[in-house]
Amino acid sequence: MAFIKTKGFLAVPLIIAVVMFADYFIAVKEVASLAGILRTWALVISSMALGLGVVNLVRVHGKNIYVRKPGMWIFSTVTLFTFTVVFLAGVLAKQSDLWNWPFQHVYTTLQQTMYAATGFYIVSSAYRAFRARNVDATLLLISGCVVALRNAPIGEAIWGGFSVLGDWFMDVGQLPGYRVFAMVTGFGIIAYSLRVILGSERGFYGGRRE
Amino acid sequence: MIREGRVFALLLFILAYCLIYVYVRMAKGGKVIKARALPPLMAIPEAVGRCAEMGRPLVYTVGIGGTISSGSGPDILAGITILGYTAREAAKRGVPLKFFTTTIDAAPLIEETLKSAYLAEGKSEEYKEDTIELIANQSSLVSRYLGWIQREMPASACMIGYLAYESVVLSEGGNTIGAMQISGTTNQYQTPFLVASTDYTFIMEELWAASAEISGDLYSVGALAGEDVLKFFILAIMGIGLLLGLFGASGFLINLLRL
Amino acid sequence: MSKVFSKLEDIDRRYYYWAIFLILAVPFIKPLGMPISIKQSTRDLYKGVDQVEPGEVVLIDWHMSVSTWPECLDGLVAELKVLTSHDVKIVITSISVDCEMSWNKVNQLVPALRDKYEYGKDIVFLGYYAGGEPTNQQMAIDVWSVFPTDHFKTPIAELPLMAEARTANDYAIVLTTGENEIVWVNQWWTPYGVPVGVMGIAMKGSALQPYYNSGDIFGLAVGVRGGAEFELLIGEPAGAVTRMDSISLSHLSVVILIIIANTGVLYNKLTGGKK
Repeated sequence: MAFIKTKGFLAVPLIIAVVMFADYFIAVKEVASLAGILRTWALVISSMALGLGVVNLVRVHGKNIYVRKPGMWIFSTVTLFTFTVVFLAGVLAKQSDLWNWPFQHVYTTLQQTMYAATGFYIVSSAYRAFRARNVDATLLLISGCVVALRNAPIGEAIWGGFSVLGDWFMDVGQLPGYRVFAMVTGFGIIAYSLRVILGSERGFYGGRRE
Repeated sequence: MIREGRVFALLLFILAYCLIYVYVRMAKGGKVIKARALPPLMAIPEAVGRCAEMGRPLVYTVGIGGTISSGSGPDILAGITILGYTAREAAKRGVPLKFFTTTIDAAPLIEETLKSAYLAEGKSEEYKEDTIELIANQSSLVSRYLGWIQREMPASACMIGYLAYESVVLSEGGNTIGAMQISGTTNQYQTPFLVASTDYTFIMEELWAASAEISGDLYSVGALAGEDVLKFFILAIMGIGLLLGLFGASGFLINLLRL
Repeated sequence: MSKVFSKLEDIDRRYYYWAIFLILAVPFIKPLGMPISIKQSTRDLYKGVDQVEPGEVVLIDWHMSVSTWPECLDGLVAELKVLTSHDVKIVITSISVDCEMSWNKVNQLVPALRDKYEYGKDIVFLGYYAGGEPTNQQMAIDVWSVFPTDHFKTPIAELPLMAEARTANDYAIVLTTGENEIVWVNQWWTPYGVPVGVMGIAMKGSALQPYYNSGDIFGLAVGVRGGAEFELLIGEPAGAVTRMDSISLSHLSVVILIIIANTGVLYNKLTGGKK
């Protein structure tokens, strides 16, 4: 039992990884079948995470209400009340007005509001960050302004060159950087996957290698 | 037997693992593999120190997503590893720590990480249950985080994990209160925003490298070294391709890569 | 004088937040009607969508939640109008939990989906799927194994369309809306050669450019601008075109704000003032 707890469970990611890698590279029917089963399990586990989220939500906010946590318990009450109403409506009366109304008139508007607020923060970020303090910052400033005007029809109305320059920045200027990003992420995933296979990456298990 | 179009990818894969294996063996054999100093990692004690001097808390978030997702999982786990290091520094200096996340499936892991950090510093009694705040979704995280930092005015903020559009909002929120900010994500769409708005940023895989460095694990550090050698190999292929392309003879290399 | 420039360097954000709000609002009241040029990447996306033959099956993946409707919905509606005008069969999936709201909205905005298309035969809404990239990989092998029923709990075997849309090779193209495009490139284009077209959020434009330039994505039209260009290509300017005036003014005002901020920086540099 101690072996399973300390080392035995490391066989699980090892076996799964080997099967998935083999399926990607080698066309063998049995391996493909096993890989399909594992992918279905991944799907099931992901769906279970939603249920886990519900349990944790109820646990955390329920506790806040139970101990009357100052400044929090009222919000936790609202959270759990809203959750309960929408959950029951979804289970008992899906497609009814009770179920639709919170989504259409509360959820949608709030989501869109929060996303729209990003625009204002981008403005203040640009105002604060795009300062010509040195050569690098000046280049960033110029390219940022050119691309901003390239994406706006008014930029082309002011000067057609914004479109040409902006396209150059997008197609040539920034392309190597993003290609590097994409490639190094791939290499990082390869190294990370090896660490998972070898049991070195203990983040999944909450432990550290001895 | 090998699927069409994947032969070269398989060879590259095997090469990657061989390189990583070699360096891991070297590390286990006693060779010291030094990773270059990562400025954001070195800035964490500075951020915690700033909080201690100003008598204000430190706020930390690993962003959104789930540990089970292939896109966000590694980032969140790396963020949690760095959280452990940050929490130890905070516990050492008596800095209150507040943690926000939407990653509900990692809640037990986060709790364990924080408790272990406080225990390691002999301050397990300072760990409070309400250090961790689990939020339902992305937009709620944004509003809760912004509200909290406006009221509590943390001196430093760490946003290290998987971040989407909230990266801009959270970082600007931190800037309005003058907090020192350290960020990191491998979400390539958000990295430019973070570089522009925060003081220190783990750019792309530096996040995973940092978590490997913190763990100090020989396998992790060896994997880093092997990965770097692989990059040189790929650079060499790109250089050869460029030269061949200049002479109009890159067809052979392209066909080889498409094997 | 230096006080003025110092102030320019550090304007209270509340002032310019209000300014941006007003600037964004004005074009909705009084549209400016600025001409919008169309980029080659949008033309390529339109061409790819337009060339799908009647009866072929297209997979549309929504990674847009309701929060990104203002950015993505108009472009998606324009794409659907092109597809429905060609009697192309459509299968829709989503990685957003609020996909049903998007489905209802799209049915309101694209009359052909209600009037011309028969559900189950011409269009199927498979709904939300969890699991990320492994799920996309499994869908390429067998969609039925991922979706035993559609979103409305109809068994997949009872949907005639799904009998001819079971594996990646059964689909003509994949169109993604929102943020999930790379997984389709990884799991459908690279192994199976199913072309992928992207109409997503504007943030993604820079990062997707390498994929478009290398041909991994056949077309790219991001943000409100991409949606507006697509609407112009189909000859039906709608929501996205309306929003472009606001986009124009807001971008211009951001640039002006940056110039104002740098005026202070430049003045201080030239006069040896505040560092």
